[in-house]
Amino acid sequence: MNSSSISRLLFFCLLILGFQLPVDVVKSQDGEPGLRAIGTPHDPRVPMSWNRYHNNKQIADFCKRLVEAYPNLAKMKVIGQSFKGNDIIALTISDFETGDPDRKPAFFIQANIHPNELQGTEIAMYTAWYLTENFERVEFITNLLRDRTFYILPTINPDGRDYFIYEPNNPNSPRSGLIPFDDDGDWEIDEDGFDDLNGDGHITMMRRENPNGRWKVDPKNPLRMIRAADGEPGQYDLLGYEGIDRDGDGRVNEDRTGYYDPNRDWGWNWQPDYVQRGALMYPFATPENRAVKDFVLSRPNIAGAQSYHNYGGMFLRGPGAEEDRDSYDRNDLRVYDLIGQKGEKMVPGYRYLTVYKDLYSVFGGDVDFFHGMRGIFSFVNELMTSYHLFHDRSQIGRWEDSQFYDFDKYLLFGDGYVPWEPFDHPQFGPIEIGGPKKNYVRNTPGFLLEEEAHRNMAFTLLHAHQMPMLKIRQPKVVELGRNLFEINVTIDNTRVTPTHASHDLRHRITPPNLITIEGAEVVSGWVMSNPDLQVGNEQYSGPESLRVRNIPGMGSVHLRWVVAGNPNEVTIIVDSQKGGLVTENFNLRQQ
Amino acid sequence: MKWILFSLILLSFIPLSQSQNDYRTLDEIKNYLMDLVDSNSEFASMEKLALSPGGHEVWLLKLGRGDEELSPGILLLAGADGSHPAGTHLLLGLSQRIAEQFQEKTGKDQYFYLVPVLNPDAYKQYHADLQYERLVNARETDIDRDGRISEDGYDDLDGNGMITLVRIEDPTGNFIPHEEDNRVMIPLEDRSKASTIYRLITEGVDNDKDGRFNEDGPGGINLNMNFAFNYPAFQPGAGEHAVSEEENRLLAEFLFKRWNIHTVFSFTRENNLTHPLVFDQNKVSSRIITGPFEGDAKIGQQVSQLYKRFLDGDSAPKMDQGPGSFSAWAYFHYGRFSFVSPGWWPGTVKIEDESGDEGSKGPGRNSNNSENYDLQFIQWADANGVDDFFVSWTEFDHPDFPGRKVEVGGFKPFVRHNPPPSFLDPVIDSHWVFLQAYQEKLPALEFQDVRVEQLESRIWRIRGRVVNVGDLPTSTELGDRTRWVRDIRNRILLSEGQELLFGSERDFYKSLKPGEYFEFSWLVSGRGEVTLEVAHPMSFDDTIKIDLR
Repeated sequence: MNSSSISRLLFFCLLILGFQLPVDVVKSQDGEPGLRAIGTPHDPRVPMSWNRYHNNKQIADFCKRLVEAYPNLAKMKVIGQSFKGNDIIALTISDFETGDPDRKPAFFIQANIHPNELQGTEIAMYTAWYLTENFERVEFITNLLRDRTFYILPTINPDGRDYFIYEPNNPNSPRSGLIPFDDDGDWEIDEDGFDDLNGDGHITMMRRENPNGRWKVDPKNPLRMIRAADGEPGQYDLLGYEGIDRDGDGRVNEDRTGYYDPNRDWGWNWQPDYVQRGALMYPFATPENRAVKDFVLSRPNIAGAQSYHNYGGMFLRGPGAEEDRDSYDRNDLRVYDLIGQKGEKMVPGYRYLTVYKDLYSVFGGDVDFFHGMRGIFSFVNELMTSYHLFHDRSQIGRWEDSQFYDFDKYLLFGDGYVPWEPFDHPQFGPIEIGGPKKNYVRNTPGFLLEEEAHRNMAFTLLHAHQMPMLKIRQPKVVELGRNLFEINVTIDNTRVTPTHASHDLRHRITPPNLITIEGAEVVSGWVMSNPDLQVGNEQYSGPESLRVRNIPGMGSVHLRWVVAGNPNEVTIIVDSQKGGLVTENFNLRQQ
Repeated sequence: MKWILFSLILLSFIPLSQSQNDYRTLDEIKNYLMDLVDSNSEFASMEKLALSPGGHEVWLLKLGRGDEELSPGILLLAGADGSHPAGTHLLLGLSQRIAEQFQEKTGKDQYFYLVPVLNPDAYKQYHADLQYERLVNARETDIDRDGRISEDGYDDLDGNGMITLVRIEDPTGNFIPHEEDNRVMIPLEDRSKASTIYRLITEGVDNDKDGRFNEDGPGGINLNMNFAFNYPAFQPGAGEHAVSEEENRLLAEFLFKRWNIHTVFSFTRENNLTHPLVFDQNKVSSRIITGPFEGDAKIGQQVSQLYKRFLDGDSAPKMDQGPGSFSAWAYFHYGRFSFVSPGWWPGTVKIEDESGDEGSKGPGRNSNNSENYDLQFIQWADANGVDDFFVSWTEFDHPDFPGRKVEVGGFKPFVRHNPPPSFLDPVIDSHWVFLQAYQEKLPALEFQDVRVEQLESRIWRIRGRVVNVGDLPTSTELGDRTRWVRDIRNRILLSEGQELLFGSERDFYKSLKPGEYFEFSWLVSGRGEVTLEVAHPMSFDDTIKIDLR
């Protein structure tokens, strides 16, 4: 190799490098160059830090900034108002230059239906941010936005979210929106809620010394209360969450803000409160869910859906109730299993489970509505697992265990708990107050949040990638004589999700795919089950638009048109609600 | 029995409100309601519950007196069944009688809520240029879920302005004419015995060539299939999910705010009044409850007996409450006593004689020999001089059945369940007498055996019991399980300076059946007046004052 060819090679390398420069070695915010960390947008147009929880105003602000920074990739729409009049925001993320986003197969993400389950919102926002910031930087993402649309609803319970953030609460409260109800059936509404007795903004626990109590302090961790063994004296009674009996009925905190469960409010297999605790009067009784439902029903292109909850580290699929087993058949489960099992690898510590079998019965849950009523493949992720704490698989559970105390001690340095302090209670006398802060246990600690967001997002991108992807093969023409020609067309679905789930087919939820030929005089049209052996069904009416019930995942359908005259240029249009709109022109004379 | 006689005598003096030649249009209904409210503004009001997709108001008429929160209420509803104007007519007739009752200023504090037409979009079809029995509202819907909206509705093949049937001579068909009357088509049972077999379809052509006839006409959602109990997901007309329609949703929203509604009566082509639901342990033992509780079923039987004292139960058709129906929902999810009947059927009216024995049967009642409603209807029509109810079978050259003998004809729409309105006047009377008897049975709470014992100079024990002295339970057994039915509240109100030493100021109790009671005991210190107050939104309440001295 001579010197000139070396310098040419060098120049060529530099050219490649130079081409990549804006991506990898851009300057950081303060003007100092740095090296891009793999997997993360380096110099985002919308700077964000993913180690915090956002209130409604900050969420709206983020959405606005994203739309301003990426007008060709992001749109924002207020789809309705909450009970208290807060906006419910939907982001549409797609490459707007490659087709109508409402006609591409779409992936739907909603979060924060339970207001104390904050982090789904951050993961939804992270997803919108990651997709836009990596467009034309990461090829996979560029293609994903070319082919798919993401509808992202960062919070579908804005009333509850700000209430959880700004009002005294515990890790489990509230689970509802803010429509007031008479929880305890005494004809009065919200008259006896929590009382933040020590004024620290958290509702923690009350304990009172009792030499014969059934609770004692964990000798390994003074913050933690454990049960005294039978036959062994204890030290304390636990008196429940901070509060006083405000209405003199002998009970504490029995009629607080919110009582219902907005995730028992969805209109599939809905059951009333005496069957399903937490249900309201009828399906979609909350304005928030109603707005979301209307949004979903008006976008039949949604082919995949994700709801974020916490906690326990789970990818949950339906059915929520055993009575509904039949709506998930073998073919549909193949899709769920592929995504769920891959997810277990992508998010270590998470398990792929079925709601009714592995958790508890849920009637009227969101995941069932998507699958049952709309035929959309859908998952609920229960975010945050104790596996995150010490990567100890043997202790994975859904509840607060000793690991949370160890984690608090060694990694949070005591930031997770309110230490027990004496308090003079007007009804119980001298007590002590302490316990987990409202933002601990269920919500992911800050330094783990970005990782949780990225891994869960990756799970949804896998799901979104595996939504139907339809391709039209070059048609084959056969001359039949007497000026008649046969045009054979194969449509491939190159991903695992079918255009119609089995459950969808059984109930005719989504209209059939319509495959149309233009530019030829159609005499008859056939959907071929075996084109080689000439087996097929003729469609008598309107044969130029063949109605195909399903294009299976990783499968194909074969169509045949008999046309008069030697076809020249034809257009094939595949119109599939969940598989998208694909139009292609073919020159048949070139064959 | 006295009050029945009194009612019947009273009825004969009441000028029957403008005897109608035909069922009222939506505008006429609105005017009727407005007139009624105008002339009874002291106790009558109306409000718009919802606006239908077709742009029509769903009206609610309220008649009542007293503290609305604590006075028992009865809901009357019609027009959930879109092709049943007779139900609406009956309900409007009753509204007049109820108003007259309040004009009398006698009687207790109570409320009536009336929804004359829940589905105005469907109701309208009765008066439309093309008359057919429409069940669905005007929401644009792809009823057959094929991607095309309203592409295959009825077609008036014979151009007579109404939709009847088409019968096609076809050995693969499933219908034959009834041997007693060949106007009536019945399902074929033994193919070998039949001479001419017909296929039966509704009047129209297969507009979209999908092999089905008239499966996707204008609209819509059938509101009486759209409620959340036993909701028939994906059935044509059921909608995208339960309670998807604003008419239903806003009705439910209204009802759940009205804790005082004790009983729901609806008029649709369903019937649990002459054919009450029976108790089945299996249906209440499973997680999802699908049958009435034992006590509620018993009340259903009693109310049925009462109803059949005034209306002829023997001739009444058995009509099950359909999936997603309003009346079933009103019991299973709203938790109220819920009774439904078509109101009128061929042979409805029964006149009770003074002795209370079964008296003469209404005209046209001759149904024991027939299980067939259509035959029963024809017999009634013949006996009552009602003709013009049938379109004779006429040959028609149907494009979808070339080479076959095709005829258009059959019963005219509406006629079999909606007689000429004048025939409803006695039906209104009978229902009003029934309703009067029913309201007399509403639960009433009463303090009984209240004893005041002085323990020391300034300490008294007050003991006693609260009894339901009405003839109906304070609420359903099912209501005891749902939070949407309130418990009974029993409380003591003290005067200044008095103190409650034992007992809580207010206690709550589940439902009381007739004659059932709960006991209470309070220990009060301090002289002065105490007030005992037992209240339940669905019951008549009681208050007593006691002077402790």
